[in-house]
Amino acid sequence: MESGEILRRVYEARRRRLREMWETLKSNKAAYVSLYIVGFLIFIAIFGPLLTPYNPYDFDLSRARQPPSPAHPFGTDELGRDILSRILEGARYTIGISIASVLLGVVIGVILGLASGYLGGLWDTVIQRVVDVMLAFPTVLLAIALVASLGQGVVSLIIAIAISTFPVYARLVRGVVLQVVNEDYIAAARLLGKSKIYIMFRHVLPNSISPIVVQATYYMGLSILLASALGFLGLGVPPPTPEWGAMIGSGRTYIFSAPHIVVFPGVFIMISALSFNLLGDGLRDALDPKARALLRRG
Amino acid sequence: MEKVLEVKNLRIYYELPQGIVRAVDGVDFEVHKGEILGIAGESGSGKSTLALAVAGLLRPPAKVVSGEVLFMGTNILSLTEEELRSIRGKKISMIFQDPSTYLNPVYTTGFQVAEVYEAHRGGSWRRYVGDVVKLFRMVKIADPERRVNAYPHQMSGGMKQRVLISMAIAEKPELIIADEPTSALDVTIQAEIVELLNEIRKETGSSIIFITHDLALLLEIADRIMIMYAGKIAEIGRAEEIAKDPLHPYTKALLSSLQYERKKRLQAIPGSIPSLISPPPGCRFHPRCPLAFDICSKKDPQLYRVGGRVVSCFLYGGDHGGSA
Repeated sequence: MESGEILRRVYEARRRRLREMWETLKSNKAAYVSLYIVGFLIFIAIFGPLLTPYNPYDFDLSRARQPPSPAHPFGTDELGRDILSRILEGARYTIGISIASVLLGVVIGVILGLASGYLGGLWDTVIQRVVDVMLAFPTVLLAIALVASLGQGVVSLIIAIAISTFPVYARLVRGVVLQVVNEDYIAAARLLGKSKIYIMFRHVLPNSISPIVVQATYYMGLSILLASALGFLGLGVPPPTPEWGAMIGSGRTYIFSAPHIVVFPGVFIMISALSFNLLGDGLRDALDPKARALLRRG
Repeated sequence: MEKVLEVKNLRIYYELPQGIVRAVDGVDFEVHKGEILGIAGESGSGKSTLALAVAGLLRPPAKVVSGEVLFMGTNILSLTEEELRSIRGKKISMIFQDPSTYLNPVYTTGFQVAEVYEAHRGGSWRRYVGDVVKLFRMVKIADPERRVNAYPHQMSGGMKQRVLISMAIAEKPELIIADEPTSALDVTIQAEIVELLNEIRKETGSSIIFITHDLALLLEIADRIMIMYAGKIAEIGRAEEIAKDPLHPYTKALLSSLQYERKKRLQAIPGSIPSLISPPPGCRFHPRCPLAFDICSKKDPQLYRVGGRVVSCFLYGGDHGGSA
């Protein structure tokens, strides 16, 4: 058989693997449903402002704190703004901030963790001592300090959350890497004369990915909460932007008299955090060829 | 006969907090072109340390105290890591005991074999898929066009060992070091792998160092056999000679422990292998040797030539009374 034909088969096998991944993800019902919910959340994050029945910023005190009704399905808030419209408008802030901050945190954390675990020596000592110091700070306190110094705004919020969460990834990745580098196939790659960077990204990283995926999706939820906590303290996205956490923060005074003001944004935060978690769980299984085979067999 | 490898007076010690372990202690041997040299010995006799030294893979705390490992005339032990890289995997390659740990679980086996070519010849792995299929066919992996896309966990132990063998022979090396390549496999697969190595040797003309604790297996496959005991050579000879007429008392004991007859007690060697931190004085085998006499506990036997063979025992040479 000539090499073009073999290569064609290699690509075909690759497509088959992608299909397998998809099937594995589908077989995990919770993850499959979560995939649609996450897709829906991303959809409203992008197109939400086009779908709002009312202007999310128009206030009318005569309609303040109305419970859910056909005109306002989620009710109105303390300033009479339509909560449904505000949730649709705010999705891009909340979901956007959490995705961006987690991505940034993962990238920083994974690179530092890989360097720390794989290069070792001085790299390891310096990175891990920095991580130690950062982990010693309460996450919220660190984020407050960062926002205070970076100034308010979406971008500084993303940076603040990413910086205050990356030490967790760095520590996690280092632990996994230390386990993986002792595997014989890493030694074999090293003996082939492959560069450290190549081995780090091509051999070590793919074998360390599952705990990172799980941790990252867990932190999706957490960074939404962190963003809300900062919003609640007046350090998040400045009002009147309807970031979901900030909505809870400003509605908390009325939690007993008009609970729907905090319940609806809260439900959305909960649903997003939960579906990101479940999706991450399914992704981990789908990405690991060994787990994939086990799941299909079982 | 052309010598591929020549090891001269090699001493490798491990410097541990508990003391110095004399893992390889004054070993001389050579490997001829196209032959299979079998190295047999108990666990802790220094076989694997020797293999690592030949491949230039020794790492601290292992330390070469003396000696040379001449591969095609160059001393492996004096080469830099950079120079070793051009030899290792290309001119000297290794096969290990547990094939599954040497394959990366997240990549297909075909990609991993192609990576060997990529490392030595450059270019993208895509260029080498055709060669990988040829290699797979050579090591008798059934349906090679499909198997290049299989992950390690989709293969049996014997199949994985074939993949590793294909990696080892990719560049048609002068010397293949097989360190217990069949110990993790079941007996029928063992026979197939041994047969495969034998065929590869004939096809490529590579020399093979076959390390095992299974002397019976070596008697089948090896041209010459080197018996090691506690870091030293006990005896080197042609496989038929060793089988028919073992010289060293240790070899004799090993062979009689192989000869199994119904309703007869298995002939075990009394005692166990000595500590390599404080080996017994004189011949290291003397505390367990049924034929030991005075000098054995006082002096270290040299390697004595008996015909075409080499044996390290005072029964065959040396001055029994006084200075050696």
